[in-house]
Amino acid sequence: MLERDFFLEIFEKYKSISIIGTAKNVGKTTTLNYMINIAKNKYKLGLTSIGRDGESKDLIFSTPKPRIYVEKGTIIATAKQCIFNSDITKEILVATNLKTPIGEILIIRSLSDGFVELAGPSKNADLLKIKKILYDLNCDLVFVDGAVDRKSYAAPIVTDATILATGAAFSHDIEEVVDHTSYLVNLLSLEAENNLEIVSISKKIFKIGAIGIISSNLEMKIIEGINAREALKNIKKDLLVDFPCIVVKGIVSDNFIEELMNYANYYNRIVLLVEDSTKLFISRDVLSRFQKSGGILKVAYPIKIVGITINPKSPNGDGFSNDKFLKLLKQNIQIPVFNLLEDS
Amino acid sequence: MDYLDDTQRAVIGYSYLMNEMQIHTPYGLEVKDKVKPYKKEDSDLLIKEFDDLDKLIDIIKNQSNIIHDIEFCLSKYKDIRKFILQIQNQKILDEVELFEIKNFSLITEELIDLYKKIDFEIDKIYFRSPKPLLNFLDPQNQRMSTFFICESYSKELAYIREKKRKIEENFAKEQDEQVKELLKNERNSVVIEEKEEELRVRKELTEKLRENIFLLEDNVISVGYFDFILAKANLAIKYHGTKPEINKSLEINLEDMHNPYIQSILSKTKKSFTPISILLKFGVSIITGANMGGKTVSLHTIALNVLLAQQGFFVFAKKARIPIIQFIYSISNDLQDVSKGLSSFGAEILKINEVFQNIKDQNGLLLMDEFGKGTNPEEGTILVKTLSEYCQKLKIFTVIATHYDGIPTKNTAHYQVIGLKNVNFEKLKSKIFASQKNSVEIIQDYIDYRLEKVSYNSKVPKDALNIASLLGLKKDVIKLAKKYYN
Repeated sequence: MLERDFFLEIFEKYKSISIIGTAKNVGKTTTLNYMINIAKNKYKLGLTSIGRDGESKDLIFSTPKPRIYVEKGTIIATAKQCIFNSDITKEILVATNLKTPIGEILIIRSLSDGFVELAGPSKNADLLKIKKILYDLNCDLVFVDGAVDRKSYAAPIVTDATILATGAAFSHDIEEVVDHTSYLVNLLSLEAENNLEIVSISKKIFKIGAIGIISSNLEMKIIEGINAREALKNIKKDLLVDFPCIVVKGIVSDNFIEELMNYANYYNRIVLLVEDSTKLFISRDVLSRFQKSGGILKVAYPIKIVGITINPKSPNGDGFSNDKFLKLLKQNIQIPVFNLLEDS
Repeated sequence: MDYLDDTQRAVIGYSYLMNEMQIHTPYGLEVKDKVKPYKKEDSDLLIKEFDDLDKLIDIIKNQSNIIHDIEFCLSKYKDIRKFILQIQNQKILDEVELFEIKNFSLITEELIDLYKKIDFEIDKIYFRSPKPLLNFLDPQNQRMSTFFICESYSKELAYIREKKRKIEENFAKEQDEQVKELLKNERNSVVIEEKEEELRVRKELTEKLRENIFLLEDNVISVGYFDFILAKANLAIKYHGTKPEINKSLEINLEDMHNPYIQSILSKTKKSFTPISILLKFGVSIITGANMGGKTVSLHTIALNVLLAQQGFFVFAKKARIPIIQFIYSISNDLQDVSKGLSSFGAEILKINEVFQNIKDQNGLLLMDEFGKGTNPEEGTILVKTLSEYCQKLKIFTVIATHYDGIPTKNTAHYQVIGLKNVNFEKLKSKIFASQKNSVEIIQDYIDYRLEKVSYNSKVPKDALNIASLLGLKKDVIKLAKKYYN
């Protein structure tokens, strides 16, 4: 089985894997359950989630949280309330002191197979702490369920690899789904800056703030400003001739790139280096014009999307032809794409 | 507040010391927040408290390894007080709460073992072995920090879980979706059975906890006090505190006292605190001295050390003899009421009236810093003199810091900040000219902040013109001033 082999291979290569989705009902939980099933009996599995910053909202609208079926012996990091909504026989191992709106995050061991609910931390730093606890408890493979919101795209930064789930639930227009998915893949898998010296200089800039520019002989200048866009206005245009790399702390928007393109006469090629791709709020059109102007977008902390799973059905019943959807995605994206539903 | 208000406690450096205390548990914090001055009739208890503290300081110095382990142990505690309340209120604890109670018991067991290794048995620490609790929270006697409702609690539970396990096994093997769905439903009903039986077990466990609740309560109190007194001992070690002698006689004797808070501020400019000594007899003591002379610092340091002793803390002095008193009041012209629209003088008058009403026949310490500074010097002097005479008749310790002349009488003690008295002004002047440093700093380096006892009619040093000239006041102005001096 192709899918099975693919997943077994990535489990060997990466110790922590996150799953993120383009929308609700695109098969994120199916993917997670599929992965858990394949890892069964082979790995000591640890599970958690991130990015559910709308936890309380979820409670108000009482959208049911997707349930995940785990096998006996799995280590799970989840909020207290979720523990009581799970139906496994459980042992409480560690109380982490990390709080969420639905209780402290606890680490439990499943003593039976069964359903669990996941609600992990909403901050990257906290997720790192939990990952460490899971490794300390001898987990050799950790899955992180990223919720469906912009913030959950933070999950990939703290995991070694990421699976992206997409499907008809995102839009009834197949072109739109394919376009968006391939754009998202491109954006999330932006090239990492390979020059270690530049990376180390840019980390300094991320600490100090606003923006900084780096010259070809690695000289750095910090540009002050209340935000990146204002700081950009403080750069003397001709400086970009000698400083072909511009580093931005925080969010980069369409407006910022438009502003930068006003300087296009002063550069042939310019590298725009951001912390990671979750900081980018830019449209496809602006990105493509920027690239045409000689702009190269790079990240200091790369994300590794290793595979895509699809759900051609939408929750209201209609959907796309599986073959057509697969074919279109494969034409546009250079990463393995699978329909796990069909197979199961 | 009868022992200074929060603002005053902050100013004298008491709050600083409280923040410096390294308390590890929520229980220790509770003890700290409830610290109260000792009552006169409890002087035996206060003396005992100081003896305990002394003993603990010795232990910390001699058995630092064990103390280190004890502190590590303390740092592991989480707050179970609300679970204790829940048990008392007949609520059934959930697994996580039982997990926390088990951990509390495990840590306490460990702490008791360590506590036994040091010879520190005192009345306020009465640990009880949590074994009776662990007998049922850790039925397999594994002493692991994890918790689960295990089958040994109930045969029924063992039976239900076995049933559940078999269904799950079949479910995992089954390929047919329809059969799978049936198994799932079957499992769901077993899950309900399991949860019901678990609830019954939890109820039983909570019931047993309720029967033994005093074990938890006593340990919470003991852990809290142990944590608190350890922090107190460490504070004394860090800032070289000493055990004050609690006397019943009518004097406060403070030899070479210092003030860690002011020291911390001085350290920033690499300066050090000059220890101050003073002997206060019942009645009035007057501190005089020139400007920049540190009269206020003297008052704050007296207040700090007297307050610490009342609260059961070691004091920061080479030697101290202090009685238990019923109040400490301080009146200074930085009173908050000024911001309410009163003149500083008006605020002082209101405050002193309030103090006189509160004192009645109690014994305590009253500090006045530059009283009447806000009014004209002539009337200010008269007022301070009057207050001094009035206070002399009260059975209290009064300390008045003033730069007015002629306040001390034969009946009052008179202390003076040595200040620039022994300094050769010409030499200091040339030093200032030669140095790049700012002149205020150099003058401060030369000021002798110690207090010396002088005769009642000794005048306040007239250094103002000298200091003005050192600070570089224009020569023609100085010349003009000298004319008036003559």
